[in-house]
Amino acid sequence: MSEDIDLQESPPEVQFAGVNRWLRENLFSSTGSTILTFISIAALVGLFRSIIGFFISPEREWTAITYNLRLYMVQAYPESDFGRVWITVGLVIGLLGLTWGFNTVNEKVLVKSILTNLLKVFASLTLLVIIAPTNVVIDKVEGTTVEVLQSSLRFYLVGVFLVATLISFFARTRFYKQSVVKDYVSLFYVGLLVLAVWLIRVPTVTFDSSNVRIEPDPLLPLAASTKTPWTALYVLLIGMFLIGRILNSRQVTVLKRVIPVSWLLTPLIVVTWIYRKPDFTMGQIASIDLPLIIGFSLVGYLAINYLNTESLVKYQRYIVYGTLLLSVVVYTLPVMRQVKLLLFLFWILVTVAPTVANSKETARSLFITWTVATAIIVLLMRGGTSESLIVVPGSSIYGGFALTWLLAFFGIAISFPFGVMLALGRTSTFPIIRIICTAIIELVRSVPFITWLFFGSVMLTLFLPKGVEFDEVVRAIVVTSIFSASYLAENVRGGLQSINKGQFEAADAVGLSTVQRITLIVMPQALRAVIPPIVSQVISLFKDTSLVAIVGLFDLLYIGSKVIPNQSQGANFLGTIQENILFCAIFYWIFTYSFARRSMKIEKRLGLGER
Amino acid sequence: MTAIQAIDVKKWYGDFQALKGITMNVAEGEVLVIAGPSGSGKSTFIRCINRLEQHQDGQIIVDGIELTNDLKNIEAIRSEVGMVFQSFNLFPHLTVMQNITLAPIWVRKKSKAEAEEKAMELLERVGIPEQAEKYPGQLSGGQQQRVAIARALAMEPKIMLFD
Repeated sequence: MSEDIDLQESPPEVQFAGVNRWLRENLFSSTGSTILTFISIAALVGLFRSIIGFFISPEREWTAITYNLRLYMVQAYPESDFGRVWITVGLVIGLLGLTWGFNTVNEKVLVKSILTNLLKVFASLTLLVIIAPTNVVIDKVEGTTVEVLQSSLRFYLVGVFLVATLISFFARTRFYKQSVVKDYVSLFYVGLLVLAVWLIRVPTVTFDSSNVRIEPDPLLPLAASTKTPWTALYVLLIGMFLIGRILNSRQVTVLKRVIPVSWLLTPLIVVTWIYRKPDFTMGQIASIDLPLIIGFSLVGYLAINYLNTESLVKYQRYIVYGTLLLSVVVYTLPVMRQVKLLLFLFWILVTVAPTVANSKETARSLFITWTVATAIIVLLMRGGTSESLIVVPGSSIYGGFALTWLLAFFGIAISFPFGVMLALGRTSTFPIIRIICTAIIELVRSVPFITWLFFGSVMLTLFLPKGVEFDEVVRAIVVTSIFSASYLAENVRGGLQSINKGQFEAADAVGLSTVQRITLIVMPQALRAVIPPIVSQVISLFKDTSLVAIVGLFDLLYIGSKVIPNQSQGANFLGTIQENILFCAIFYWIFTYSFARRSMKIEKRLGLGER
Repeated sequence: MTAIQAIDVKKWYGDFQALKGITMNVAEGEVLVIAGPSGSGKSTFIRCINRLEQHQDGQIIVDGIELTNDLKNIEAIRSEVGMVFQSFNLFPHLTVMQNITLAPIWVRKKSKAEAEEKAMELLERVGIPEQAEKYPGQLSGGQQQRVAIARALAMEPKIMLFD
């Protein structure tokens, strides 16, 4: 073996052949490609000229966006309760920091590659300033033009960007070996964004004391009223990142379970407690909820520890049926919904406890899980079933990006497991399950999404028992999830079919059970194979949330396309539809593109070793 | 003591008869090689022994248990019969080490450390201990075959089948 290693040679270094040769080989290799290159460059320059002209034309009323950022984010949520919105954002950002810090691998990145990226950015900016139009047409009929970019300003900008380009170019040759931890670079970029909130000034609509708009619009810092919270959140992000790193280095492995559970719980806590501002007193919690939690926890303790004792094991069947009967009876009685739900869960506990809790440790962890789950369910339902103190004009307290986010998060979180189950059901050999799953998938995806939204909004109440009413947002979430799940199921089924029959046989041959075969062998490979279509599905779900406007919900796009272009009181933004639609497009693009990039990285990491 | 006993085993694929009444005994510790032209039913027969295929007539008795339709403990039998496939069928999403330790951990309920120790021992026996953390896709055909053998041996089976 050692002789082999001695014979190893390092591969020859690949020489970069130089710009000239690259150009000759790739852009001007023949007459045809030369012509094509020139035509494409001309087309691109023309396109970018008109886009830049559109952005900087004096006709554009960009204040429509800066003035309405709050409307875009939370719609009509009352200002006195904005603290609740910030707590929500803080929870998500804190959890993000913790997850990031805990899972960081301290991956290093070459300073050179960062500088290469900067070089590209600055060089593109230089080019954009150079090709920007001097005049733009403001009246198509008369052909009136107006100067939008003075040559002095253009020279100034080109100078600045060119210097930045050159600095990054020379720095790139200087620091070609040094590397930095990637996470710090990312945190630094986020810091730049926060700094931009303080420093970048944009035209803003202001009013004088008699409520008349001051002309011209003064330049004020972007997000003037929210810069302090954003800075605080940035500090929180860094703090949680560091905490996560410390906990990771101390091997606090319990976080591996805590973090995913927190990600699932946070939105629920936000929806039931924080955002709704539920109306309840501490007395209600102390007198109703606490006894309920303690009671069910005690009964659970008894069930876990004594059902598998010899004297009771032979009555196991009767106890299970008795509990089921009890919960069905209680369901029809007018008692609190908490009790109804907990009784059904207790029935499941009674069914599984004797087999699961077969040792002291498993009994203990089952008891802890049961108690915590009971407490969470009772407390969440307390928040969710109490009257909301937030009053907004219109039907829902959710609007703008808050609604888009909510629909997308729950849509994805619910549709994913549901879709996987549908796919497994459809490929199952058990006929009833297969037929039901196939029927659901085929029915759901053969009817347009908008039709299902109408169905959820108008007709669902006809199918539900009397007195059961759901919030419009809940219905939209349910419809979105089911619709998305049926598409997802077909994607996953494709993945299942791509798996070689030999994998099933190998899993069988080593003696894995059916469940083990699916969770350990089949599903990991199937999901890996279909990451690209699943990502497409998630992206399209995110964008499809804009369709809920049709059932009267005010999502981001509806505000941009209908609400703001109709504002005529205070600031007059009538007809600013172009600016607003463009803003919405950029907003959606930032989210979907960063998601796509992220998933591409995951795909690369998972694909490791599969040649 | 006989490990495998086959009595007049018959098997059809549609109208085509693949196994035409095979009767044989394999004793414990015996090494038996079945040779023959392609398509003569060697693989079919070996796959009947651990029930990846079902025979339609006759009897197969493995380790004292007859393979029939109402076989409830099929997983238990399979864990006693190791199999190395023609095309190896390694799990591509798991490393060599995970490939070998998967079944001992999940089926035999061994601890991870114990299973890994055993796996390392087996990898040394087949001569590729340095490949433990690689994925099957990064190995050559011969190395993959060794991993497949180590995976089957890791369950400490009473019977080994090589297809």
